[in-house]
Amino acid sequence: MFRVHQLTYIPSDKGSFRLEIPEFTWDGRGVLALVGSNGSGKSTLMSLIAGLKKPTTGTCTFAGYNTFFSYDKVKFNLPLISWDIPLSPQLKPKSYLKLVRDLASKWNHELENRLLDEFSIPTDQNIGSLSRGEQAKVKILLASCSSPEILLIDELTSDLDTDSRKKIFNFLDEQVFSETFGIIWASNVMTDVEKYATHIAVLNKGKLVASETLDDFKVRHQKIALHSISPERKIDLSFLRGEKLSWDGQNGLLSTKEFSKDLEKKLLAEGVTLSLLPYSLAEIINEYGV
Amino acid sequence: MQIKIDPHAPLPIYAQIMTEITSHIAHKFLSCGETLPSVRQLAVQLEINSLTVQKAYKMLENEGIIVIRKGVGATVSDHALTKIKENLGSDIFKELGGVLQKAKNLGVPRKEILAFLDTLWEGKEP
Repeated sequence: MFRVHQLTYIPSDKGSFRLEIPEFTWDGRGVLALVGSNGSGKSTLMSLIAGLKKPTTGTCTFAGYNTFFSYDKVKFNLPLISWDIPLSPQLKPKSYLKLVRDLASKWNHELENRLLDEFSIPTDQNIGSLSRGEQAKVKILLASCSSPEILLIDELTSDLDTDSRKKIFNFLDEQVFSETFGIIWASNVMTDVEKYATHIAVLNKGKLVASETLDDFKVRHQKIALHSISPERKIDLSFLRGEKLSWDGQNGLLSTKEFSKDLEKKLLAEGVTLSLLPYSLAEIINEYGV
Repeated sequence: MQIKIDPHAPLPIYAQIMTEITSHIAHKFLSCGETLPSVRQLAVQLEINSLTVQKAYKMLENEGIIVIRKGVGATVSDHALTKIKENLGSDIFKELGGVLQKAKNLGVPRKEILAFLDTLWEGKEP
């Protein structure tokens, strides 16, 4: 449904930064969290997917359409919601609604009425006088009513008031669950990603270093406490050299990016007992130096 | 129904939900035919993605522990307890197999293990 193919993007102004993604596909069902530090290329990738930036080489396609060259065809299917793309502060939500309603090929009037009520958006005030939470709701409303297939959300939800956040998350979850649309969500708030994402893609210095379901990702990454069965025997993990793990012998803590039944067997065969410890997504992502 | 999850735990959230529901049934806090909260309700309550709850429900359905009907939702199946016992049984043998493998690797002789099992079985202190 959505594909990135042999994509590179080299901006003219960013020094040595380059974005490079050989291949990435997603069926558009669920919530794909795009994580990575500032400067990892998240926002650049979001703009490329939305068709707002021209790839240096390669393509982003949605349903077979090149998102940059066929931007007019896909813009309502793949709307990008970002603080970097501000609404005009002098306009009222009412005027924005009329504008987008007239431009969009499909418009969901029922949803518009529902959300105006549910989000209690003041339609008659200038956008500039609205709170951040209200502005976020206006953006979600505009994008959701024009029948999107994948909503691209760039950091929109990070600093909203609790009530706005709850209402927005609740609405988005309902839409994703009923398969109305999917979401690609760039975020640095790992506690949110951990609970609301179904898929994760990790960007580091312009490269994808992981992409899979969040469940698989979490099972693969484990922090393990090791104890030797006989106290006089020191745990020696040198036989595991080269595998993706870090070993803190002082505290008997092993962190691995590749936990498997096979690794478990190897460790047990060394005469250790192991217990899996809590390991937050923030800690895991930290290990990537992201 | 009180369901607790910890997003940082080593077990994925869907698996934690499965464990919680299974344990509620095993402890008779939930009985056969009883209705579970809807997928959306539970997701809102736990503040997680609905698809995660759905995954847990689908897998519990595959294990024969709950039944999902259109319009009715998820209910505890008539054979839930039997199914849970069956699954636990196979888990116990799996664990025992692991322990045995460990003992073998460490060179503990078969005789010693059997003698040890007998002592434990009779409830004596090893």
